[in-house]
Amino acid sequence: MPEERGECAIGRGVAQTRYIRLGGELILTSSKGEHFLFRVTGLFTADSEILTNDLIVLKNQDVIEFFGMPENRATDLVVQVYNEREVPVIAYKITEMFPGTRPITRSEIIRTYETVFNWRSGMVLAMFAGALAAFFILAWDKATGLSAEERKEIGILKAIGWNTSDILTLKFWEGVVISLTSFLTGLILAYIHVFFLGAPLIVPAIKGWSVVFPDLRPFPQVNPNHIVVILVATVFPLCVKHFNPVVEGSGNRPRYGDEGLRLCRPITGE
Amino acid sequence: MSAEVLIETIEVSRIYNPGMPCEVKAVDRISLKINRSDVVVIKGPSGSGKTTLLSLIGCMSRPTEGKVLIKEKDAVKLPESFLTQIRRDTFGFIFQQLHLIEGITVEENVMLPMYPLGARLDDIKDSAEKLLKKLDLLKKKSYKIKQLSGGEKQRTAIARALINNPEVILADEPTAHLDTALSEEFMSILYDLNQEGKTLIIATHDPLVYQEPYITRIIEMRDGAVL
Repeated sequence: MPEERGECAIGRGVAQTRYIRLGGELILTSSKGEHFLFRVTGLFTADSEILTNDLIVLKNQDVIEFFGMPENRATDLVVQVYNEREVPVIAYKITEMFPGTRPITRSEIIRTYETVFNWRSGMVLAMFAGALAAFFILAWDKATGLSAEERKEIGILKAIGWNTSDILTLKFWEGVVISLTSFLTGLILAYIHVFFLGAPLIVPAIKGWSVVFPDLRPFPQVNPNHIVVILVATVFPLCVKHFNPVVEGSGNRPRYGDEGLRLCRPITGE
Repeated sequence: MSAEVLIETIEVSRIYNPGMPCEVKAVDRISLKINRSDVVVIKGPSGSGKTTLLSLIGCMSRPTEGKVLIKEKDAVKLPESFLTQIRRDTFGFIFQQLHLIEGITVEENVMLPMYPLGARLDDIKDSAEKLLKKLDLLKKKSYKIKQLSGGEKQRTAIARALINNPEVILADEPTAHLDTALSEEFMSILYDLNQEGKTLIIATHDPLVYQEPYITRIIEMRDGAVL
């Protein structure tokens, strides 16, 4: 922080815009067209970017001189209250004493951020719920019966000498391979989308039109618990639902030629 | 010395929807004997029961009445797992609609009947390639079924029927979707198979098939009965 007049501390956004490093000089022009030169003695760190990106901190006298303000006037005041429960009371008292002021408490700031992000996370949750519903509809569709193509395939296999256990083994491994491949593909694509491409499909939904500092950059992290949960929630049900109708369908005879039809019809019982 | 009887049906019948108003007697008390290396044509109009009789002979359907003897064993009484084994070891099927699996290659289709035998994958591939070469399909072994012409599909179905080296080939209306040239080509392949000792049973109403000189017997059917 600046310790003497003529010094300043600046945020990273200001430093980048003005191409200034620590120890450099910041020239500001006042509303009257006067130029003021400040030496940069402090640079706010990236961790505090959300609050300090476009911040310039000067000594009181420099601020008064730059803006041409009367010496006894302030625009913003920071009030530290040691007992947190007293904060609303003190804010109320300040409003009573100085009717033109607007106290902003820390809890109000937190609540504002939470509101901004919570409704957006709700939006993402709604999209996710849609995807989940689609998955379960698909799984249910698989579970409730075989398609005409699958019936035909099982019929062909039975007719050319496959027995029930051969078909069940084939379908079991088919289910495992399909669901595991889908799971791994989804996981890898999600990882690439979030960690390498910066999640272009979900960031607009989370950030909206607002500009959030620092940039929303998810960092690579693979959580084994998450993977196990997704695996259990997707692969196992899909395997079972892939397998279940086949169990019903493959136990029947090929029935080639039955009812005058020339199709393999393995499903309906005799 | 009399020829060896391979298949015999004794008073075999197949009734669909028995006891219902829509009851159909597709096969009505048919008795016949088929010897090893015979070339038998089951001839008759659509709906005469040819396909049903073929399915009874091939153990794909159980008769409502009567017996089907395969090498003197009553197949009707056998449990499903034994029938599967008989279908696998004794019969090669060529279906009217061919029933090839579209999503896999020619070679994979041909290999299908051999998988359940538990043979090594290399051996299965070797067998498939030999057959594909014999039927002039080796160059197309990696093609998907939909990329093949009608004749090539037909030959793929023949290769699949032959991979387990069955004693009997059952063909249901095999020339129904082929032009004259392809039908003649198909019949010449069947002739070669018969020369190798295979028994052929063909259900058809195509004169081009039942007028072939190497046919040893024609069974004519109408309304489920042999005329």
